[in-house]
Amino acid sequence: MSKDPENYETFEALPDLPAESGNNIYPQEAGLRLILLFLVFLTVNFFVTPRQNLLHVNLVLALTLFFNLAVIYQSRKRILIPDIALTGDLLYIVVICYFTGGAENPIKFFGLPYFYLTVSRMGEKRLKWFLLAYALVFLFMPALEPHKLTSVGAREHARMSLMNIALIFGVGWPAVMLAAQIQKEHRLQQATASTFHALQNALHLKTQNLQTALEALTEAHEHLKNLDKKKTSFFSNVTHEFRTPLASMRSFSEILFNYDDLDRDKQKEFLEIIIKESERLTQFINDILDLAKIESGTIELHHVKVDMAKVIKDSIKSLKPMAMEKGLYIEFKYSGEPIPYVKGDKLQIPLVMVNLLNNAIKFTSLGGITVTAKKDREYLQVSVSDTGEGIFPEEREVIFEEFYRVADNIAGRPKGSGLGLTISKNIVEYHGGKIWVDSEIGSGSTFSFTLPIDLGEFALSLREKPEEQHPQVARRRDRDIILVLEQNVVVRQYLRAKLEELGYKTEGAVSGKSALEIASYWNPDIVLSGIMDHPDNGANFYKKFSTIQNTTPVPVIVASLLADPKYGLQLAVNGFLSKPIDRFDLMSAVEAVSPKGKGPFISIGHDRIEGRTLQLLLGEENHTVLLADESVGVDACRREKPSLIFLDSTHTGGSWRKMLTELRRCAPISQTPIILITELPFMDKNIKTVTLGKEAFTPEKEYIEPLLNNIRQILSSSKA
Amino acid sequence: MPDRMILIADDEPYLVHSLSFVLRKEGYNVESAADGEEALRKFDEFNPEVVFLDLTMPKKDGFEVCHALRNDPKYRERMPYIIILTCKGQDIDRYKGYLEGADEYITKPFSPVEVAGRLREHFMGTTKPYSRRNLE
Repeated sequence: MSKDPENYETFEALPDLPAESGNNIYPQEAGLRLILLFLVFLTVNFFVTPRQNLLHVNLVLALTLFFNLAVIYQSRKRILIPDIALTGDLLYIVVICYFTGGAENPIKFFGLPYFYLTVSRMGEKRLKWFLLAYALVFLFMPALEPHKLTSVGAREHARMSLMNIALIFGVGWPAVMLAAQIQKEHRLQQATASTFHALQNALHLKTQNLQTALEALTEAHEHLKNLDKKKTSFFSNVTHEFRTPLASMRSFSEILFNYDDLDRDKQKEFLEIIIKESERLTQFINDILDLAKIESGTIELHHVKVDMAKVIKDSIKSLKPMAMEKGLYIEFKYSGEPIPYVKGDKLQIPLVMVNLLNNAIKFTSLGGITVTAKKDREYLQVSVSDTGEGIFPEEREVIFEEFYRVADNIAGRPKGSGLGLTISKNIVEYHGGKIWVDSEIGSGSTFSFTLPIDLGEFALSLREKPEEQHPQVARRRDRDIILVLEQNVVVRQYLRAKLEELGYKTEGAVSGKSALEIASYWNPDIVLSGIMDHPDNGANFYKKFSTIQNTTPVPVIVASLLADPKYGLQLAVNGFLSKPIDRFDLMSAVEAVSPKGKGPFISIGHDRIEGRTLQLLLGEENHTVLLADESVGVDACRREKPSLIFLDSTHTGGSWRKMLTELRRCAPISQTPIILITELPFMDKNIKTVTLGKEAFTPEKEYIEPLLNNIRQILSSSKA
Repeated sequence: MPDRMILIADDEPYLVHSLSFVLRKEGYNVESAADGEEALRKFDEFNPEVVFLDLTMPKKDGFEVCHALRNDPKYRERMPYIIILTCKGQDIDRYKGYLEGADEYITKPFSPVEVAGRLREHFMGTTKPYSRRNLE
């Protein structure tokens, strides 16, 4: 299924509603106003001279009031007007200067800016008290200026001070409060708008996720419906095949029983039919059981070395009589090259051979059958060609399906149960091979299948009788056997060559599955394993490996190596970390590699949850963790010069090896410690990991000393 | 006994062989067909009174032939007695068979002698075939 419901993004959390912004005027705005006011204050001071003309006073008062009303009005229209508020401030200054005598009085000079500065930082409640205090100061100002009292008169001055209070409370305060209110509203508006947008986005994302989920579910539903249909039709086919021969057997038996006037020939004819039908039924039962066994996968096929040459020759021998009856030839054409042993089940592989030969004979009336075998890289390809009637191109694939029978035009009814090729296909594919047919109507068909070659020894010659390989027999132990399980063929070959140079005997395996088979056959003393890719990431191998041991458990050494054509093998990884990431393990791993320098940590190729976990856990220790996708990971490292790199080998689908090589070849960061994230069960005490640890990577020479030391140590301790 | 014609439609040659042997012993004339289309052709040609239908036949299957014989106006006058003989034994198939208008539904393996007995009863008039159901 393309879309797996478990894998897509988790829903984004909905954003919270904005908190109420405070009652303050924001400091930045107030600061600006402050500077502006200060300048204006200076300018106005020059021009406004205090007069005792009441008309002027009223005018200015009215204007200020007007401007403050304008502020209120504007606020109703929800327009932010720091400008108008500013204008109100200007007039306020003018008025203050007018009444408090401007430049003469330095205290008022500083008083106004101070007023604004403080007011901008205050909450509403405190503002009232401050204004009160400010007013009181103005009240008592005369006390600090005795000379003013004598010139103007105490009462006059008192009146002026009272007017100041009136101005401050009646005019200034509302203006200030309103400006604050407006700003607050504006911020709330903005915050609401942004919340709304965030909500919209979140909703959109959720809808998309639901859409994806729906599509995935629909696909799954269709898949299940198809499966159900297939099962039903399979079932009805099976019942048909059971009941039909039984019906014939019953009918003819009854006829023979009830009718006494049958002549001997007729009797024999009917009895033969009964016998044939019972054979047909028996064959069908066997086929269906075979198919059920193989399809369920529960049968443990025993994988041993199979001599294909012998299998081919034996099957030809057993079917020769049938071919000769029809006047057909069967021959095995082989080139002089030795045919390699094949890894497989001794009983099932001949079954495939017999089935193909059977079919070939059935559908050929003139000519004969030729069998060939040739090596194709790691596989042996066997082909069975006949000169029969051929197969239609549209039938080429469906012919392997259950119960599919090619209609035989001559006899008018299909032969066989239609399961033979299905069973063969299942067997071949279980072994990891492929089966297919090439054919042309009228000129014949060639059925071919491939099986994996046993990477041990080759059959020396066809004339030699192959020995029975019995897995339980203890092998001659003249040398220690090391099983090298490594996906990368170059590393594996280098390693095997190196180890054999040092006197060990090695066997190689490419995957966990083949390693299990080889191990059960060879009983190695040590298994040396690289990091394998998902899904056969080796976890299964390690779990099963301990169960197939007969005596003491075999130690497993895990190391991640690079192979350089010039220098040879190099230990590449400084530390391992297994998933799921545990806090303690993470901290120990990081400490064990002791990252130096101030650069951030970088994690490449992780999944989202893992990335966040790393950030959170390491963030607590004040480490910054940058998260990079596999496509940009290496570049990101080059740029950021991290002090530690996390590389996830489970998520990147094999490209982590390339990335590891690139990182180690990239000069400025080749020495950076790298921790590889894997899915290995490190808790198992039989699994030992070999890493660089605190040591730096040496790009210019071979370095696998720790690995070799581990091997030597384990081998010597097991002998002691 | 007058010459009665019976048609057996089944793709299994052994079944046709055994059943026609018994029916011929009983004195009926027997014709056979290996698929649905041949069955209808032979029906037109020989006008059998009784038709045995297998369900799993190539070209037209048993249900289609039954449906045609019951619903096509050209067959209205000469409705045969239809016996379905099949491997499909589930209730749903039986139900479908009667729904399509079959008179009898027999599952394999069956006893041909028993079937011969049933036919005798039919020709003696003791059964109520489909053709007569509609008239009442």
